[in-house]
Amino acid sequence: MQKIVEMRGITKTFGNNTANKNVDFFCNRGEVLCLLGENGAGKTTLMNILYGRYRPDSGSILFDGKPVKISGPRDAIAMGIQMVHQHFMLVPTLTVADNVVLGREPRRRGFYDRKEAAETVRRLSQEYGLEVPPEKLVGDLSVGEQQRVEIIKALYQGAQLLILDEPTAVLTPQEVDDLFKVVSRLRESGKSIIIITHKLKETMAISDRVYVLRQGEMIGERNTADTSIEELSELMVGHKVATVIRESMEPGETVLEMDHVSLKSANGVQVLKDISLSIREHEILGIAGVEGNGQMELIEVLSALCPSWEGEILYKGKSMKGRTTAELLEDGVSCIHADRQAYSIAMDLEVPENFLMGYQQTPDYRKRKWLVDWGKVVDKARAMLEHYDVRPRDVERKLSEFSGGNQQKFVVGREMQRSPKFMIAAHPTRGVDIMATAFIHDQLNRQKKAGGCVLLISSDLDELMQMSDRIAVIYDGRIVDCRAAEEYTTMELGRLMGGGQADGKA
Amino acid sequence: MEKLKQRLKKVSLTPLYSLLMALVIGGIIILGSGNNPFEIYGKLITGALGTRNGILQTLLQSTPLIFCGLSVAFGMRGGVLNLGVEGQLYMGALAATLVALGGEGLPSVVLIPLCLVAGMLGGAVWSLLPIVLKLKRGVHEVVTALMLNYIATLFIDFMTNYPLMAEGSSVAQSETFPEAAWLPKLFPRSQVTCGIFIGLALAVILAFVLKKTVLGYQITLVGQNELSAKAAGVPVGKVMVTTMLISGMCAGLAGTVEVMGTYNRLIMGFSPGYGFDGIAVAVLGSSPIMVVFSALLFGILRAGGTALQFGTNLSVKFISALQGIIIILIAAPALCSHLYAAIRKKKKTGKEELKNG
Amino acid sequence: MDDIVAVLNSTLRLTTPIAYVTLGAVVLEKSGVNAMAMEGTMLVGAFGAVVGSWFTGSAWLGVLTGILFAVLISLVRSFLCVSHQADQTVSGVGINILASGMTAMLLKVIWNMDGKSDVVTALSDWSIPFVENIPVVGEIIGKQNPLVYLLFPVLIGCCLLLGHTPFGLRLAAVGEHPEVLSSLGLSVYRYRYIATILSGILAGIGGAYLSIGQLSFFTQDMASGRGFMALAACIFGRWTALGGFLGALLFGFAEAVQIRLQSWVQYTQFIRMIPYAVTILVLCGFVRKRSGAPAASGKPYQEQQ
Repeated sequence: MQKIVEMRGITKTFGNNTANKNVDFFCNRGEVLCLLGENGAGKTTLMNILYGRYRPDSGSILFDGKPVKISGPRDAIAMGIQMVHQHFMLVPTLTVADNVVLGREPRRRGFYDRKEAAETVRRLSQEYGLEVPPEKLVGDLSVGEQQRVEIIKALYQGAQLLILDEPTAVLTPQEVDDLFKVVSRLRESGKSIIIITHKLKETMAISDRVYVLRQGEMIGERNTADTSIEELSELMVGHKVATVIRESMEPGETVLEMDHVSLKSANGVQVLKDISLSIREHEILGIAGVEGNGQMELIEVLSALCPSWEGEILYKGKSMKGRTTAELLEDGVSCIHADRQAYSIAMDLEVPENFLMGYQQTPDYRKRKWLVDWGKVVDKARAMLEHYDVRPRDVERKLSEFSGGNQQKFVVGREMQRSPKFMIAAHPTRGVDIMATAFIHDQLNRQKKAGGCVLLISSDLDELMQMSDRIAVIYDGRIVDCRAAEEYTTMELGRLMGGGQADGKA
Repeated sequence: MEKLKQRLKKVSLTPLYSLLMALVIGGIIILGSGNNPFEIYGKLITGALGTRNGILQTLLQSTPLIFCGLSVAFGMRGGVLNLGVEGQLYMGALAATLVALGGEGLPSVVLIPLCLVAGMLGGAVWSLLPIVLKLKRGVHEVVTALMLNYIATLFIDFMTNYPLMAEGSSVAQSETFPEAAWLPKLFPRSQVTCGIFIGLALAVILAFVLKKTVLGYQITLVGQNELSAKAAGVPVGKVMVTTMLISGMCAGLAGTVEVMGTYNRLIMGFSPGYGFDGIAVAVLGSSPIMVVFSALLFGILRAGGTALQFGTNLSVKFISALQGIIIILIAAPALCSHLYAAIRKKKKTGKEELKNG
Repeated sequence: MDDIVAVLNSTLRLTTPIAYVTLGAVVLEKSGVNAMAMEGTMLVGAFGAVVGSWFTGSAWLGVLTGILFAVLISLVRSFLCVSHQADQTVSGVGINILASGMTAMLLKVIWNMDGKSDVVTALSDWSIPFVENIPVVGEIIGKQNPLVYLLFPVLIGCCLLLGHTPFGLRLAAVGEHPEVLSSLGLSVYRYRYIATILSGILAGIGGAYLSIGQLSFFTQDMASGRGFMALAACIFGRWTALGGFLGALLFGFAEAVQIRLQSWVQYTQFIRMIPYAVTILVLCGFVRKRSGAPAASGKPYQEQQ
C-alpha cells in the first residue's frame, strides 16, 4: 500500500506542556485509521499540526513520500488534507451551499454564482449518499446534518485525506451508523480517513488500523483485526483505575418533584415540554440525551436562572415558583454547570473571590451584615483546596492560573462544601483526566450517601450507566422514558436519545 | 516585607508602559508640529509645577478629574462603561444650582450638604436611562449615554439662556449663588476649594465599598463575569443599576463641586470636556485610589497645557490627543506586552552576544 | 408645498454624510469589528479634506486627502484591535478622543486659529441639465453636491459587494464565525483590514462632505454625533447596505425637519435635541431583535501562529 502522509519525530510544546513527544505516524491511501487516546493525550494537536494550524517544534512531514512544509491550513488544503473539527466550522447564518463553497466560490462574471453552488452541493450529496438541503440555513439544521455539511465541504475542497475529530461525540447511535456507512463509501472511492476518538467500540467497528497516544507519546500501533478492546484500553489508559460502582441505597423522602413543566425560549420555541420527574434522597438521577435537547434549559429552570416556566416544581415540598437563585442556594440547591468558565468561576479573580461565589449571602461570611469577612473566606478556601486536592494550594492565584481539571475540582469542591440537599451536576467530568474523574464520581457518591440527591446530566453514556440509580431520557425537550439504570442497554438508550422507541414498544 | 514584595509583583505595569509610550508618541507629534518635544514637555512641567500659581492651577484642574475618573472607573469595575459623565456632570451642576439659588437665606451647614445631595441626585437621574435601556432593550449603554450628553448640553444651554439667565448678563450664565452655598476656598487668591478633599474622601469610600462590602464584591463579580454572577445568585440587573447610579452620583458631584467652588454660578459650557478626560483618568488608574494619582497627572497635563497657549503653536488640545493615545494603548495590553517582550528579547540576545563575544 | 420641497432637498443633503458613514459602519461591523470609532474617523476625514483643499487649492484633491486621513486613522485602530486584540469599544472611544484632540490642536498649528479653520475651496454643486428644470423633482435632485450624486453608485456598489460577491460572502463569515475562515486557510486579519480600509474610505467621503461639501471650512468636533447616528442606522438596517441607507435617510430627515423648525420656534435647543433623541429611540426599537448582528462583532480574535 502507498503511504499518503507520514509524520516523523513530531514534538510540540505549549509553554511547559508537552502535547506531542517525538511522535511517528503514517497513513495509507484508501485506509480508515483511528487515532485513539484519552482527553488531552495530544491527538487533536497532532492532527492540527498535520492540518497546518500549529507548527511543530521539531519533526518532519512527508506527503506522497516527499518532504513538505505545511505552514498553514492553506498548504494542507492544497495537498488535499481536510479536517472536520469537533466544533463545526460552519457559519450558522449562511446557507448550506454558501458554507460548502466558502473560500472556493463558483463565479460568474466576477460575481458569486449561488445557483452553481447549490447545484454542486446537490451533486456531491448524491454521489456520496450525504443528504442535505442546499438552500437551508445551517443554523436550522440538526447536528447530524451539520456534520454531513462539513464532510461535503471537505469533499468540495478536494479532500484526499479526511481528518474527523471525535465525529461521534454529538451523534446518536443511529446517526453513528449512518456516518460509518459514509466513511466506508469514502474509503471505497480511494480516500483516506483519520478518525480521532477515545471510543473503543467504534474504533473496532470502523478502522483498519489504530494508533494509540498517551500523554503526548505514541504508545502503540495495531491492525484492528489483530487487537481487542481489552488490549486497546490497556494501551490507552496505562494503569487500571477502579471504576466507581453504583452503590444502591434505599431512597428516602422526595426532594424535588417536577410536575408537567414546560418552557418557551425567548424566540417562542417550546424547549421543555411537559416534564414530570422526581428525585429522592440517596438517589442519583441521570439525564441522557444528545446535547441541545433541553438539558441546558432544564438546568436553568432548576437553578432559577430562567423564571418563566409553566407547571409546578416542588423542592422540599415548597413551590419553586418565584424563588430566586440566591434563595435556592441558601436552601441547599447547588449546581455544577456544564461550561464552568462561563457559569461557575471568574477567571481573573483570585481563589477567595471565587470561593465566595454563591456564599455571599450567607451570614457565616459576613461581618456587620454588609461587610465581607475576608479572613474567614481565605481560611475556608485554603481548607477547601486541601480537602479536595486542588493544586497548586495557593489561595493568592487567579483561577486562570489553574489547569482545567483543577478548576473543575475547585468548582466541585466549592459546591460540595455547601453540603447541598439537591445537586445538579452537568457534565461534571468533561475535559478532566481519569484520576480527577474518579475523584469527582467518588464525591457524587458521597453526596448521595450523605442524604442528598444528584441530577446527573451527561453525554457520556458509560458515566450515566455507572453512576445513576435511574435514568431519564430527554429528547426534543420531552422526557421520553425514565427507568432504573440496569433496565436499559446502551443500544436502547441510544435509540431513545435519537427519538426512537424503547424495546418492546415497537 | 515579603508580603509587600509579593503585592508589588502583582501590580500591573501596563499603565506605566502605556503612559511612557504615549509620551513618546506625543513627542513625535510635537516634533511634527515643528517644536522641540523636550522643550514642550519641560514647559508643561514647569507650567504646572514650577510656580505657586501653577501648582494651584494643577489642583484646581485635578479636582473635577478625580470625580470624573472615579465615576468611570467605578462603572468599569461593575462592567458598565459610563460615557455619559459629561452629561451627568452638567445635570448634577444644574440640580445643585437650582437648590443653591432656591435656598437663599439658609445657613452654609444646611445649604452646602443640600446642594451636594442635589448634585448627586441630578447625576444619578441622568445616568439611569442608559443602564435601563441596556437591561431592558439591549441597547449599548455607550451610545445612549453619548446621545444624552448632547441632550444635556443643549438643555443647560436652554436653562442658562432663558429661565436661569442672570439679569443683565451678556453670556449664558445663572445668577451668582448666595455665599452660603460657596465651598470654602483653601488658599488666598486661588479658586481651589475644599472640593478636592471631598474627592479624596470619595475615593477612599469607593475603595472601601469595592474591597470590603458585599455590594462591592457583587459589583466586582458582575464586572468580571455576568453569567457566573447570576449563577451565584447575584441580582445582576439590580447591581448594574446600583453601579451606574453610584457612577452617576460621582459625575454629578464633579459638576456640583465646580459650580459651587470654582464659579459660584452655572455657566454654559463650564466643562471643557472633563467627562471625557475622566475616561482617560479611569483607564489609567482603574482602582479608586490610583484614580486620584492618575487625576493629578492629568491635572498637571491640563494646567501645563494652558501654559502652552502662550509662545507655542500648540494648545491645550494637545493634551486631549495625548489622552486618546493613552486610552488606546491601555486598551491594547497585548501591544504593550508584545513590545516589551520584543525589547527584552533584544536585550537578552544582546547580552548573550556580549557574553559570547 | 415649498416647505416640503425644501425639507426633501435638505433631507437629501443631510442624509449624504450619515449615509456614507453608515455604509462604512455596515462593512466594518460585518467583518467583526465594531463601529464605535466612526465618529472620530469621520471627523478626521472632514479635517483631512480641508487640509488637502487648503494646500492644493483643489476641492477634489481635498476629498482624496480626507479619504487618506480617514483610512490612516482606521488602520491605526485596526492595528490595535485586530492585530493586538484591543478592547474594541474602549479603543474606539480612544480613537474618538484622539481625533477630536488632534484635529483641534492642528487647527492652531496650521492656521493659528482656535475652533475653526480658514475658508478653503469647497466642492461646488452640479446641476443636471433638463432635470433641474423639471418642477418639484428638479428642485429636489436637479442641483446637488457631486458627493450626493456619488452616493447612489456607491450604495449600489456596496449592495453588490456585500450580497453578490465571494468577498461579501467571506466578509459575512468573518464577522459571524472567524474560525471558519481561518480553518479554510484564509486570513481573518486580511479581510478585517480590507473592511477597515473600505470603511475608512466611506467615512472619509462622509467627513469630506461635512467640511468641504456643505461648508468650506472645518469646525471643532463638527461630526457632532453623526458617527453614532451612523452606527444606529446600521443597526436599524439590520447590517445591510440598503437598510443602513434607509436608516441614514431617517436621520437626514430628522435633521432637515429640525433645521426647518428652528426658524419657527423660539427655544431652538429643544429642536436641536431631535436627532439625538431619534438615535436613542431607533436603538430602543430595533436592537432587541438583534437579528443580523454579526456574532463576532466586538470580540477580539487572535489568528493562530
